Amino acid sequence: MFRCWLLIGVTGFGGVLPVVVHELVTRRRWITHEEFSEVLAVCQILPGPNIVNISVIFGMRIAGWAGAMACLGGLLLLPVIIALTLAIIYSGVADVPAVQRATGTIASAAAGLLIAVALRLFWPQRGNPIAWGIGALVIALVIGFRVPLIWVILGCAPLSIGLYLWKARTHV
Amino acid sequence: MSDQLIDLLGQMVIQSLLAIGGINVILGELQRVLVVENGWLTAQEFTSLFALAQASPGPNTLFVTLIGWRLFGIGGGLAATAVFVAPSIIIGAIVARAWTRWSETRWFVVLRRGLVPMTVGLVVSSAILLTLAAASGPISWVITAAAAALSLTTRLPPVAILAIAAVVGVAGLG
Repeated sequence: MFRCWLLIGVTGFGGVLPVVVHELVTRRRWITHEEFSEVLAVCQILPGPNIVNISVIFGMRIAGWAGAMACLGGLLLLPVIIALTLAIIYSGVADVPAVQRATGTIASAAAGLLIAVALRLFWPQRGNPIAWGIGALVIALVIGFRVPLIWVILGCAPLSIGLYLWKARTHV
Repeated sequence: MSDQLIDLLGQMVIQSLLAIGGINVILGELQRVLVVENGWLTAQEFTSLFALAQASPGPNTLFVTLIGWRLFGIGGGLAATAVFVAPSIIIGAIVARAWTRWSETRWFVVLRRGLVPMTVGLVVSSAILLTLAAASGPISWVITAAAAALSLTTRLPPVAILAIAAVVGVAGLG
């Protein structure tokens, strides 16, 4: 299991999830598609990085604490080493103009990738007025007023859930 | 440990607990805390570290490793990563033990669907803030737009898109 997650860690560039599905479900059949969807759904409402939650819950269900630590350790070990190595190399050459330019363009592209993620999340909600309203409110609070996230969540989460319940009720 | 290190590690625990729906949700908040509020990093450093984390293989969590590294060296990077994933380990362990097919219960469905509009708003906010932070001229806007378009319309993996951007930068167009 450790080896499998080691592989997942190094091969997942900018989003590990597709690799996880491929390794655990398709190739090794350690977990069925239904079970995996369920784990993923639960992890999406748990705090913390989703992929860390998935690796811990998966490892725990299969082999208890040792399993959880093996999966998480495998997931993080090599990427942490690689990222730190890259960062150290980067700090040595950060003053080279070409490197500075490349960092700038990579940062712009990374922002573009995040925009794509945001649009993909938003697209299924485009016909939902609640998503427009809550989305606009959250953006105004976060960007316009720079309200600390904890207040945004404490304020908007109940509102978001309340509106969903209200809409579900009026439509039934 | 210095006070700043304790502050940083404390922040990482809080951020981890706020990241409902993944690390993309808290990018805006990280920027607010690290750059605007405390001035620990410049906006430029913040976006450079984010770019480095994206260009490395592995989970986005690495961004936190690099923030710790930038401020306190390798030990800081490892410590920041450890405290950032610690809450997830504890929560994951509890959930795995108490597993009772949650996804079929009504309150779970309500929670999951009800939270989507907020998550969307938070990820969009993160995307806007990062775009603004990375913007240094007209070319950077073009690169951001092109990367988003490539990601949405082609099957290119993210690392390929970042590699193209790097080549554009080295060639001196950025």
